[in-house]
Amino acid sequence: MYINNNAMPELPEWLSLYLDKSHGHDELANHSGLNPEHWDTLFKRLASLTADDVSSRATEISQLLQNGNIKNESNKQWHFDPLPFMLSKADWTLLEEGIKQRTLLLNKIQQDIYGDQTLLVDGHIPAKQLFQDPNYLREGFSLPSNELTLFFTALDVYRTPTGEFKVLSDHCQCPLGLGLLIKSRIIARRVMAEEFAECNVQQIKEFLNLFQEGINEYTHYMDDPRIVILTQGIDDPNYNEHAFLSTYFGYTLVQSADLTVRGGDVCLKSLQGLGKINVILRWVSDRCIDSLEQTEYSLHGIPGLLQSVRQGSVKVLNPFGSGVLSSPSIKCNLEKLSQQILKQPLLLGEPNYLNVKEAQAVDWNNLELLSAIDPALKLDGVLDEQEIKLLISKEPDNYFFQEKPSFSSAPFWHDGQLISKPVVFRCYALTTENGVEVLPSALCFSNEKSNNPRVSGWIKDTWINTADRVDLGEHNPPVPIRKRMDVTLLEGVISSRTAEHLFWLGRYLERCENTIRILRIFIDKYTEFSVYPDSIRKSIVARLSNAIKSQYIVYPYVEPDLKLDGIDVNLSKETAFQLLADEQCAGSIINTLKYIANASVQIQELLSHDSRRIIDDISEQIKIFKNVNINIPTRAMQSSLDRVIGSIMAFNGSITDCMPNSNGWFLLEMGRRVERSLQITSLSTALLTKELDEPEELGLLEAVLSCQVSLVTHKRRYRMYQTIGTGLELLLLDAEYPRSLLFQLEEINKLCKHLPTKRRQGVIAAHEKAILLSKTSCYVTEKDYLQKSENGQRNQLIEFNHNTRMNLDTFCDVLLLQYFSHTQTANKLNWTNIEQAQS
Amino acid sequence: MKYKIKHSTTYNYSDFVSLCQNQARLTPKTNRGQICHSSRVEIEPTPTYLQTFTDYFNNQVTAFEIAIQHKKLKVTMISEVELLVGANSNLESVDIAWRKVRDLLVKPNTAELLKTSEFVLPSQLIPIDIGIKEYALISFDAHKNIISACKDLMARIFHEFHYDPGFTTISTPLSTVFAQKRGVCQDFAHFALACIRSVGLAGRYVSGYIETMPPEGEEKLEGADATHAWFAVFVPNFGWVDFDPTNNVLPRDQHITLAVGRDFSDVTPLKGVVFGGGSQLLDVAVDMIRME
Repeated sequence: MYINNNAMPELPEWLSLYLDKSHGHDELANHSGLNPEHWDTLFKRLASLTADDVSSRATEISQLLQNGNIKNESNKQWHFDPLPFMLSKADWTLLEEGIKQRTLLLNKIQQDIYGDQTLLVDGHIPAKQLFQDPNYLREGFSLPSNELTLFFTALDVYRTPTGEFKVLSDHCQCPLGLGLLIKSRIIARRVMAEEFAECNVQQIKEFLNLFQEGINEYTHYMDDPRIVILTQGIDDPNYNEHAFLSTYFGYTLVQSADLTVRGGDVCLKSLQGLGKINVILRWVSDRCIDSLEQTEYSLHGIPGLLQSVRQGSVKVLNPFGSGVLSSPSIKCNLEKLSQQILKQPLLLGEPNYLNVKEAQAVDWNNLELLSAIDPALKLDGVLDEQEIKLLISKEPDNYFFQEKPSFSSAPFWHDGQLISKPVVFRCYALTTENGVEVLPSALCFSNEKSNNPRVSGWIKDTWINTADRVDLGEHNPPVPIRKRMDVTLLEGVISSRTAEHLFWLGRYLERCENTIRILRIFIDKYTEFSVYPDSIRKSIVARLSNAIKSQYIVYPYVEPDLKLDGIDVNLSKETAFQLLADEQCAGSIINTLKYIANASVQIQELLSHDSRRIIDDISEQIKIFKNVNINIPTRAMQSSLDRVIGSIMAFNGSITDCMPNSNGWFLLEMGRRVERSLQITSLSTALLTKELDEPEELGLLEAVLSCQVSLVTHKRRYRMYQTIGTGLELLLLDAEYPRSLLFQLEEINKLCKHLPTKRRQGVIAAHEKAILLSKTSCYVTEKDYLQKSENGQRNQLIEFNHNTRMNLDTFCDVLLLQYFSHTQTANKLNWTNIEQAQS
Repeated sequence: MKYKIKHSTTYNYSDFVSLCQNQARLTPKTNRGQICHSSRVEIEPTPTYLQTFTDYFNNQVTAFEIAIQHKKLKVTMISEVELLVGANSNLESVDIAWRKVRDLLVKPNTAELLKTSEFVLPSQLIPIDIGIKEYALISFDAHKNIISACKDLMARIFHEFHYDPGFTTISTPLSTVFAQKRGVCQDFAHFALACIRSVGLAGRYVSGYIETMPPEGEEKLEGADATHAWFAVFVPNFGWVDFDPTNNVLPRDQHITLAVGRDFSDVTPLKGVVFGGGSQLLDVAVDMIRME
């Protein structure tokens, strides 16, 4: 029972209300101990807060979470609680020791299973069940024995009604939630800065340093080690976390298709060619990591990876095969194994287990059935009674019963008050050369389905008091100078997949901007026409409408055939709406925004926090556009265009600062320039090639210039005399004017210098040749040549633009082939079927 | 008896392959029944990487990579193997009831028995069901000697199952083979293993070669010998005893062992992942030449 001691001010109502309620067994109300110092300090701080204050903190947190794009597996928002969880020093000491002991024990078991197997011969682990466990990986036996040490593991702990801690599950393959824990700590420190300082909370920074040092241990003798985080990709429900860890630790985020094995080395396909990888932090299951050697063929596998591990060329963490440690046939014998291996009892106990025979004698109300060979099976003793009976009658040895865990509860803030929810703590450990290190915090989480140990739903930061840890600074070993040098060498390795996404992101951003400007001008023109319906305005609206509908001036920039007639008027509103929100229309703004959002997710780890927030805004806007219909008022269309262009501008601004060329960002700029060149040529072909009466022609020129934000410059430069020719000179031929076609080509040419080349000096690469061709023709062409018309049509302009278009297409094709081509899919060789040789 | 074996596998692709990663289990074993005196692998185009290692079941694996563009891959293994004909000569002296062996494998208390006990369990391609067990028990009556029980099972499969090369593929489930009683050597070996394991004995899959004899008066054709598959049963204090249900014989002087495993998926002679290549055409030729 939590006792409010005398030194405390009176508890606020929201807290005493919670304490007065009756609880099953609650961390605060029942398990806080006789002298709950750890909570006291917190409550002293919180005593002055009203329920409204706490609610406003909760709101602040949920905004921060939203901005950080922190989603859980089912893509719902986390509920991150404004009240941290306080662990007493006594509890923590016990947990810390228990975690160390268990990690040590699991390491020894891993060594034995993939080694001498004495534990199996002596019957401490049931061999029959283990051999059938899908996580028992026979490929592990041919790997070097130093590939068996665990690196970073986690375990889920809960508290029983009598107050002891028990272990719900171990995570020895890909322990999830570290990214979430770091994020929640960052938020907690921001929202609860004062409480945090007051409570002397133990820092997690030191552990994270050890994490990186642990990895460096494997590479300290290398000049330029490459460390990557391997993820399944954006389809993985935990992709956000992988991207976060990649950014946090500065390791390149890769998918299996980014890696290839050459000459026994695992290599990253990067813009610079193939680069050897030294360490892989895998967030992919070891059951399908090598599609050549393993029988479970998977697209996420890297053919040949295990051979690289076998010859010691690459280090995989956690080691291959570690998934077997979560096997039920080990977990339910762990108590015995501890006695056998460590000669001591487990400090953190296991739930009570009964074999099938023992369970016959008792009531199944409080039991659930687990399988010794299928880690996924769990059946409720009451609800699934019939199924259980059927299963155990066939193979009693393969099943056992477990007492249903009874989780303790903790207070969570919800709707202006504290409610209690069952909680589990996920703790993290690191196996280092000097023993096991435990992360001095935990991810405290609650799940409505309380028996499901996956992290989801409600989370809390866990605070551990640091009072008697004064020698913090001395724990940091001096960092050798060599290592610091290595850090700078790490920069700039990106996969060619990421490079390609950067190029496309540049194109989409530019496309979006341009489409919005076209739509704005179009709306402007047709609303004006409805007020002043004269024939010139009518012609301009009709031509714009046609150019949009036929996709001449929006993506995919269809090249009009030479006859530019056949214009239908009106339905302008409908055309405008389609360009805004019709998902059937390839170049619509909603589709372009979707492309932007998707490409950004793919390069998420390179984006700053602020850039990611803007992408969230864009995703919101996509949702809004999905729900609008043709009846949307023109006014509303215009204001949403303003909002989107605001986001795009903000995004452009937010990435300008983080554009070191070594990271491939120049490709984004290149993508922009290519897209803009396409826009200029397609606009001038679609709208300026028809010879018309002067006022009509100049009206169209004005529209084109406005789309290219060049109207004012044009007016200033050609004050006395404005023709189609002057417009074309400015838009296409002026090497000094930043929005001209020639200027874009010059920029693309400059950016090409960043692309690695294998050619010797003096020889120009194919993609540069294409740009050079177009550049030259811009330099040697006169405006009068382009303006000249035959039979009312400017065929020379059409041809000029067509050639430019061809050259840009060539440029993109070569780029794709030489620098981005990595997408070739793997095929399985038909296995030599024995019978094909049979006569 | 000494043999020279030449086993070539050729893949012709419709399109260029830019990279392939492969693993071959084509090196004959040296064991109680045979000695592999030499073996070398010839690969075209020349691999850019080649290493060998020993797998979980003690088979030698050749891992290689070809990172140059090619439209044809040819892997030829040339080896010289001596068969020790006397290896099974004292088989007649084995006098142990199959039930005793079964009981021994329930609680394996030595490293050898532990490894062996794994071959009692069902595997990826060999699921076990009650129908198969019923079929098996006809051969395995209560006190029967393990060798004669296995011989009986082998003979029944030989007589009751129809050899039909077009009927099955590698992905045909065992239940179809059982229901139709049709298949090829690989299916018969898998089915026999399902029977062996269903009664609690340890059985393993053997891949290898068998020498074929030309019809009387005719010349032996080049490439006419064959890759083959059969099964082996564990007998305590003796070792693994081979049975060939396709020919109803105990392999003696015409069977050469390449690799062993739980089923075909453990011993695939050549597997690989290719990038590019389009469609592929496979051609396999085996020659077994008596050297003395």
